[in-house]
Formats: sequence, structure tokens, C-alpha cells
Amino acid sequence: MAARTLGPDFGQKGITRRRLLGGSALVLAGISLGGWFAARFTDGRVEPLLTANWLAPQQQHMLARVADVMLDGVLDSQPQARTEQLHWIVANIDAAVDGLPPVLRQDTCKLLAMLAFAPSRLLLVARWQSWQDGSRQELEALLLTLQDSPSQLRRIVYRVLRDLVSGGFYADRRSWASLGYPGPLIDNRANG
Amino acid sequence: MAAQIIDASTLQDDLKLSADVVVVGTGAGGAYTAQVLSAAGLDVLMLEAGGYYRAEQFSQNEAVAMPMLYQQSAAQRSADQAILILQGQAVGGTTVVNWTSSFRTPERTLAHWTEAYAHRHSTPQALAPWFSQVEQELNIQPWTAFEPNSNNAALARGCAALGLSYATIRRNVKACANTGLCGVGCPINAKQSMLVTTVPKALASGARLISRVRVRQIVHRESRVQGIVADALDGRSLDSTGRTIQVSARHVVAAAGAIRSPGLLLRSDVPDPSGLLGARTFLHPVSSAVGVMPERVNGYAGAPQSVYSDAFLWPDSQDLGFKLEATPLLPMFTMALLDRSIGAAHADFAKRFPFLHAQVALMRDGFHPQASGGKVRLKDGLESLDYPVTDYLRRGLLQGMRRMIEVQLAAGARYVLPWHAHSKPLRNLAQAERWLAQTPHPDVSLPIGSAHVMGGCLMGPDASRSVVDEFGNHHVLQGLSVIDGSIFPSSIGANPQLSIYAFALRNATTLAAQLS
Repeated sequence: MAARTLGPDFGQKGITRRRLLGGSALVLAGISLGGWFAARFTDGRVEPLLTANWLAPQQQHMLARVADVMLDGVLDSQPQARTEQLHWIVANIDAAVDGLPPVLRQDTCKLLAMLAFAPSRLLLVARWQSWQDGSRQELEALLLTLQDSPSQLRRIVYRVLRDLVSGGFYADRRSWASLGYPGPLIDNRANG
Repeated sequence: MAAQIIDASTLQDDLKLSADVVVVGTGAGGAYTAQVLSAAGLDVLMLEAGGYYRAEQFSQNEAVAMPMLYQQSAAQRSADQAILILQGQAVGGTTVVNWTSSFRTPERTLAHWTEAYAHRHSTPQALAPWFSQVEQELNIQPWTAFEPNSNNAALARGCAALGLSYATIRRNVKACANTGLCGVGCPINAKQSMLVTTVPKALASGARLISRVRVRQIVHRESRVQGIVADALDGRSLDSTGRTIQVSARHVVAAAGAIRSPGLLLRSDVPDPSGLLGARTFLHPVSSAVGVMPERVNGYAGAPQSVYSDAFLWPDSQDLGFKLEATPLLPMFTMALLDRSIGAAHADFAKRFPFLHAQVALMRDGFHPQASGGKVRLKDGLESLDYPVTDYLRRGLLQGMRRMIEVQLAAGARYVLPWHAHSKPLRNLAQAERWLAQTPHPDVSLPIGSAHVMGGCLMGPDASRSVVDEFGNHHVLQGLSVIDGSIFPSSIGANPQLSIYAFALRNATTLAAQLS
């Protein structure tokens, strides 16, 4: 397809092979530079945890990490079971975002995108490092500083993350046993 | 004749209709209005942004119920994010998800309206027949079928120990099985919400219903209403489908609740000589405290609210009065909302879940210059409520918190966790008072909730000081009424559903006589 596009016009437009290669080199350099920036600024390339409607792979990993910290002590201590829990929490968060009205959904997605992008994350929560870096204790301390921050914006970031994560966990029937909640007296389980 | 019900999300083409009266909203105000007007022989069309569900479709899982039955998936907040505002969105409105608490408008509230707003028709005597009729129709009675659940019993026990007045709440239920699921839609139709009472009656009288439709504008010309233009919504009531519904009508009743009714009038450029359209919107802002009891409370089971205390509702001082009630404890609501901690503190809270007892203190806003409510504005064409949290209001919320802690400790709580970003276990009153005095309370550290929205289209006889007259008729625009909680010039000082029903019944009856 590309060859056919280039073919007839190749000489007529005065595009020499050298210029084309030169241009390609610039494009490649641009892509490489973009990749370097992307790696630096977006916590690197990550595989998605799941197929999501709204959450980009980096946002999925970020939320899983935040859930791992926020719900520590509630989540299973066995690594594989814990990983499974984190995956369904992220899936539930994606479903919750999907159910928001468009304006609210857009705001939430923008905030999550900013938190997953190093420069905007630095501005928002004073952290350049990826969410994956650092211990649970360190991340918990960071989250608690957000909750106590004099900045209303940072307190809102804490609230949104906490609402999403705890909602993602306790929205799921699989969490109820951990609370000692026997389930509703009448339960139309087929409705969700 | 089969009822005429359209789910607008299924429309393949635009729709043009006509009716005598279009009622926008099917909650406490709109559904009662539709029932009265259709019974009077008028051709009524009900429009509702939410879905039309049957009890068997309800989910008892909050994660499913909230997007289905609540405005903005139960994430609706005031403009600065400070206040979480729970409000229903479904055929039947908030009555589908409320906790059934039924109070007549307090006489002191009515006296305030008479004195401060020169009301002539808001006396207890004038309203008594309307209250009686509603109470009969919705089976509003004292809750005696079961004992109050442990969560409400703890409130009663604490009040009794302190010598504070308390009483049993009347509820609008019939053959209630005490499931405790009122907030996610009654699964057995025991709650006498509008979904199972006035809406079916209106349909039986020939009214039509379109669900999943959002009214864009009231169309008017030369001070006279001509109809409405609306947008069909998708199957989740989130996005417009692109289909338009136009209805020509000689009368429009705005009954979309106290945020969306003023929003609709603002969007429609309805004349506003008083400049008060959208202003004085009230929320009964609440603070909350959670007591950890020595025995299981199981706050998720049983009637959500059956005991209240008005011991602090009408203080002798200028302080903000508040009502004390219990709040039910379903898992997501409790763990995602009432607790704000993370890590070990949250894990400890989770372990106590069956032992938790929770109360709310509902602030009686709208009676004091420093608690004059919020203002509904339009932002990108959508309603937004700007509700400033004044120092006066914050002081009231903390006073309410202090009283709840006192009552919970008196009820036998091992310790109390205030609903606060800096919450800590408070084991005695002295510790609580130190904490209250020393803990900072900036905007977001003190979470504030609301489940009662009132005001924004206030009623009164004087067009320069109100939006509609005492019967809900717009002062300027002929053919427009507002019949819902937005007409109240202050908060009620009690859960508002019965007040909305009674005013709606009276005002709709008057309107039916005018139109017939």
C-alpha cells in the first residue's frame, strides 16, 4: 500500500531517496525520543491487567498498586489470591467509571491519566517515581499526606482514589465475607 | 386499555406529541401531581430521566443499584466537591430509594414561612387535611410491626440514658418484611413509593409515561408556555441518543427535584423578576459518627430508620439546630463512605463491621442568614449546585458530631469514630471534646453528606421575593408550575418526603380545578 502511494509521485514531487531517508531518520529519531519520554514520563510500557473500557494499562497498574496499599490488611495475604483480588478490583473500578455520567467520567479519566504521567503527577501529588516503585509503607505515607494536605486539590485526589478503590472492592460480593456480612435478606442474585 | 409507556432509549425516530399537561419528573411531587391531574380527566404525560423498573429487577448489590437508581451513580456532589448529595433517579424518583421516614412539616417550620415569607396557606390547620389524605393513601403509620433494629435501638438507648427526647418514626410501608433494603429499592414492593402507588394510578387513569428522557427546555412565547423539548437518553440514562421529543402542552409542571427543576427553568430562560431562581437550595447537610458496640448490631438488617431525636432541633441559642437519626450500614456505603482511612486503620474498621452503629445529624439549614443554602447554576448547560460551607454551618456539623458521640457512648459504644479525615477512636466525652477542639476541619477533612434536596424555586405570595406562588404557579409565566421540594423557602427540619407529597397533593388539586 505504501509503495503504491509513493510509486508514481516519487520523482515528480522532487522527493529524492536521500531526502526520504533523511526524513525517515528524523521520524525515527522523533519516535525514539518520544519513546524515551514516554518511558520516563509514563512509567514505561506495561501490559494491561485486563481489557478495560476506560482505564489505560498504566492507570490499571496504578490503581492496583494503590488498592494494594489502601486495602492492605483486608486483602488476602497469599500472593496469587491477592493478585486476583487486585485484578477484579481494577475491573470493578473500570465498570464504575463506565457507569458515571459523561462529564464526571471525563473528569475522573483525566485525573487518573494525570496521576499516571510523571510530570503531571509531580505537580499533583509531588511524586515523580512510578506507583510501582517504593514500599507499601512509603506509598501509604504519600497517600496520607494527600489526605492531610493544605491543598484542596490533593485532598480531592485522595478522596477520588479512596472512593474508587474501596468502591471497587466492597462493590463485589467476593468481599462481603471479609466483613462478616452474610448478604442481603432477599437476594436477586441474577440482577448482579 | 394497556398503559402507554415508552422507554425513550428504544426510539428509532424523533417524536412529536401533545398533551394537556407535561409533568417533568416522577418523584414525590411529579407522580402525585400526575395522579391528581389524570384523575381529573386531563391528558397527562409524565417524563422521567431514569428507568422504569419493577421490584424483581432491583439488585441488592449496591454496585448495581447505585448506577441504576441514583443520580450520577450516587457520586453527585456540590460544585466544590465538599458535599455528597444522594438523590434518586428512576420512575418514582428518590421515593424508590429513600428510607421511608415520614414526618409532617414541623409546625415551627410552617410558622417561620408564615412570618418570614408572608405565607397565608402554610398553616398546620390548612395543611392538615392534605397530610391526612397522603398518610392514608401511602399507609403512613408508626412502625410497630417490628422492634427497631439494633442500630436504631442504640440511638433510643443513648437518648434515654441522657434524658433526651426521642420517638418512633412513621413509615410509608405495607407488609414490610424488615429487609433493610429500602436504599436499593424495596425488593417486595412493601415501600409505598411513587413507583407502586401514584404512578400506576396515574397510568390507570390514562396518563402516559416516557422514561429515559431529559427535558432540555420549556418552550414559551409571550409569557405563555407552549410545551417542552427533550432528549432521549440511552439505556443507562447517561448519554443522549440523538433522538428528540417535542411535546406541545398548555401546561408544564416542573417536578424534577430541587436541583434539576431550577436548572430546567434557568436553561429555559424563564423570567426571573425576583432574581431568586436557583437560590436558597437546601440540603439538610449531615455529619456522622460511627460507634463500635460490644455486641453485634448488624446495621444492614431491619428498617433503616425507625427512631429519631429532635432534642437539638430547635435550640434556644442562635446555633444551628439538627435532628438525630440512625443511618443504615450496607457494606459499600459503610466501607467506602463512612470510613476514610487506609491500611491498618481501615482493616481494623472492616473487622468491626457487624458491630458498627451509625448516626447522622441533619442540619436545619435555611433559617439563619449564615445557613442560607446554595445556588443552582448552569455549567455547560447542566445543573451545578454551589453550596458554600460557612463557618456557622461547620460549627453546627461539629456540634452535631459532639452530640452523636455523647449519645453513642451513652448507648454503650466502646468507642466512637467520627466521620472525618482525621478520625480516631474516642472513648469518652472528654477525649472527644479535646479531639473536636484540636483537630483541623478544613473543607474536605470534614466529610458532609446530604440525602434531602429542597428549595431553589421558592414559593411565596410576593413576586419580588419568590419564584412561584403558594400553589406552585410561576409568578410570570402562564402555564408553568413547580410542584416538588424546590418550592420550600427553607429546609423542612425533617425528612421531606411527606411534606412534598402533601404540598403536591394540595397544589395539584388546585391546578386540576384551574385546568379542568
